[in-house]
Amino acid sequence: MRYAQTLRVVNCLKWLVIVLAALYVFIVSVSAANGVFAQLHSIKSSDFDIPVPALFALAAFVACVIGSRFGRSLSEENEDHLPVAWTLPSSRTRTLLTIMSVDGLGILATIAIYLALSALLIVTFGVTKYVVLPADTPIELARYIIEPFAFYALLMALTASTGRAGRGLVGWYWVGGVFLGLLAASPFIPNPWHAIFNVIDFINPLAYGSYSSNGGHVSVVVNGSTQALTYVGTLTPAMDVVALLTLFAVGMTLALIQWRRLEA
Amino acid sequence: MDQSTPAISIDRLTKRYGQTAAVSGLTLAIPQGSIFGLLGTNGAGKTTTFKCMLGLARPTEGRILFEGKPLEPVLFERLAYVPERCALYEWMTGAQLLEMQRRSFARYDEKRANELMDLFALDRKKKLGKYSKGQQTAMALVLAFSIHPDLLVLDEPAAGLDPVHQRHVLDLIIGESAGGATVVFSSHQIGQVERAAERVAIMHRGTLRLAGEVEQLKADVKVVEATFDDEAPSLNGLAGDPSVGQIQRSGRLLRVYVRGNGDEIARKITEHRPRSVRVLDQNLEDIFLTTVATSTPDVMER
Repeated sequence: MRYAQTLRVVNCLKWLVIVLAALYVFIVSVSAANGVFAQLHSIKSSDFDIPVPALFALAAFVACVIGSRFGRSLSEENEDHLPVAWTLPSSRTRTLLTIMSVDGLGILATIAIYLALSALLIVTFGVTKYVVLPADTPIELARYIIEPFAFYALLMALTASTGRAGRGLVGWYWVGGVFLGLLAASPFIPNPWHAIFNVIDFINPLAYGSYSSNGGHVSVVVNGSTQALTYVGTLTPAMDVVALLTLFAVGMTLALIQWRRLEA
Repeated sequence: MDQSTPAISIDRLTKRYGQTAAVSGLTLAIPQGSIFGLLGTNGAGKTTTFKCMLGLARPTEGRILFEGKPLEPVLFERLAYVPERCALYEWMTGAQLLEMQRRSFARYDEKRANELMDLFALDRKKKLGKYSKGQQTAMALVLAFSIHPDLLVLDEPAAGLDPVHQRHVLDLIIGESAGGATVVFSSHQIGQVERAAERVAIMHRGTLRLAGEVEQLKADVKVVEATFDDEAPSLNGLAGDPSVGQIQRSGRLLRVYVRGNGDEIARKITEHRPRSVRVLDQNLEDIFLTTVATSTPDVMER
């Protein structure tokens, strides 16, 4: 099973590299045509910074997108392939753990590939001097690395017992996650609904992916509105990590239970 | 391993989906080293039985033992299964699927796999999604036979194959059994089952209707076939004869299935002045059709 899953993940990563390479060429070409390089070199370093956690936040978002593809690995097996997967000399639990470990490496590789693109852009634009490491960088990095895993695990739990329907569920999972985040953040939703959406949003991994930093005169906001950040900000970064780890563990467990109960 | 222990023993297997019993109270013993044919009409419960055997579906009741033990994942190292609906990874090439098999099974024999790929004329570089249905079935057979299994479970293994490749499948089954493997297979091509299987079981609507050695089953029942100048008489008196199984009437043709040699029944029919009467041996198709026939005689019209 490891071989089949590795092929799936590698195929997906190949496409990611192609898309990101095209994106790099596009950004550099457009920037060069509009004189962005010259403008960047004229900015004082006290007016602009690039916090490393912000790069990880973006990488986590990309990993969630790719994790959406990996997250229906079990439902993909359920598209008539179970007689192959379940007649290999391996228990269902071991098969599941093999699939998840390969997918997990794929998620880490996605983060690494995205960070590589970011580094390339930073070097290309000559803005390495603006890269900063805030004091809370380690815990923020932990949060952004765990977030796509929690997202992936819940998606696995959602699609483990589905077949082709898993494809549609992935789309609805994204719609639901984003919509819930908006409801939780919206100042126009009256209480008690606002409070209820806020509580439900605890189980929405996408809600943990936002990043905010006021470096100099430029505010960097990634993956969400400032209102959403206000809410997530009520948790400490360490609590965010614990919450995401809990979501990951719950997702894994639910996926395993369903996978073991499934019938071909 | 004690040779008297069945390769597979199925004890009162029942599988229900909601209120529907796909298999009901099935008890079977499949001897080691035998070729066992499982026959039945569509929906008879053959595929469900295979799924329950292999742990792909959970029995509602009953138990299944392999060489006296419950199914364990390690058994799949020496068990091969070809499902009715080929479930190969269509995005893989033939070569990649063989590589997956190589990495998964310690018993994988690359030379054998290559021979089989050539036998079925399969393109290793082609994506499996581009294979025809018959080629996908052939690919599944390549995987199954490439690991020299001790136990083969084949659900419609010749479906979609041309007659030449169907013959190859039959030869492979017989060859594998000659090497000591136990083969359990289902097929709608009863001629193939008759040629290969030593024992058969016939299922109908989820229940076992008949099981035994093919030669014995064929010897047990004779067919007395009579033609008349006009409509065949009903011969109600024959129905009370304990040796008579089924009576079929279709126009001028009367066919009576008789346990024993059939001569006495032929004599009784002669009293009704038929144009001709003959006592025939049954083939497996006759046995199958009479077994699954309903009580309405005309259903059997062919």
